[in-house]
Amino acid sequence: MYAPLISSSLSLAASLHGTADARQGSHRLRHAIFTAAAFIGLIGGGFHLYNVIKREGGFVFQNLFYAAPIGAPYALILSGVLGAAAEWVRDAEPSDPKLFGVKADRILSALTSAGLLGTVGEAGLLHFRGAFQNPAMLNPSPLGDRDAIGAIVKCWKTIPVQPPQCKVHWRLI
Amino acid sequence: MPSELRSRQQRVRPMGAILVACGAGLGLAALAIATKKRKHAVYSGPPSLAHDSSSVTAARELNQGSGMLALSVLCDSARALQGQFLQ
Repeated sequence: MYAPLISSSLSLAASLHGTADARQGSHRLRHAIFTAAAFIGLIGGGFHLYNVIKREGGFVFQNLFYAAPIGAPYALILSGVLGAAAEWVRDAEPSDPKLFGVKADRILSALTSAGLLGTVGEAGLLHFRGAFQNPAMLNPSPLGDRDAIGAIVKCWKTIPVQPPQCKVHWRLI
Repeated sequence: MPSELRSRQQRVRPMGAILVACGAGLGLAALAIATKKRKHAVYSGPPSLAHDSSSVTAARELNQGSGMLALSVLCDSARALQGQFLQ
């Protein structure tokens, strides 16, 4: 319970430091803090998922509504990954920053869209729990999902490298 | 409401308020730093890595994003911790 408090406080402090830092090149401590935040978020995500599936009924809406919030740790992961990406961008070629061989703007747009998709998903879930009492509660889900998915598809299509071919063996499932 | 729970609420509420105030303060500080650094900057279109020649500027914008997310996690986990104490 205290891990996200400590980790997010450190991440916030590192982000403030990074925002004020106009120097080229990454900072080791900042990078370590962001990586640790993403890692803690990942572990937290596992715990939250376990908290949902260990309850009676498993992965059902009732448990998603009232167990540990499934989307919450992913904000910490996203914060850590964005911070780490900032450090990578500082180390990249100033005129044409790339991450993993792909233009940084494309990969970060896809990441931001994925974050937006998660936020919209959580908002949709909570609004569904509230039975969409007000018609305005329907607003974020379809619009946000459409925009986020559209942005991810657009980013993926513009990535020049060939995406990995994934073959699913349906017979094994 | 049982008296024990009420007294616990009285203890915990100020702690939550302090945590939220600290988070809001840090957020405002981040905003102030970001505004101060950009006060004399010439606007050259929306912030984008594609159109920005400086990777440092882009990295600083990413840091603003990560900071805002960290702030939201901080407030969220403070609220969750407060709820945990109340149980």
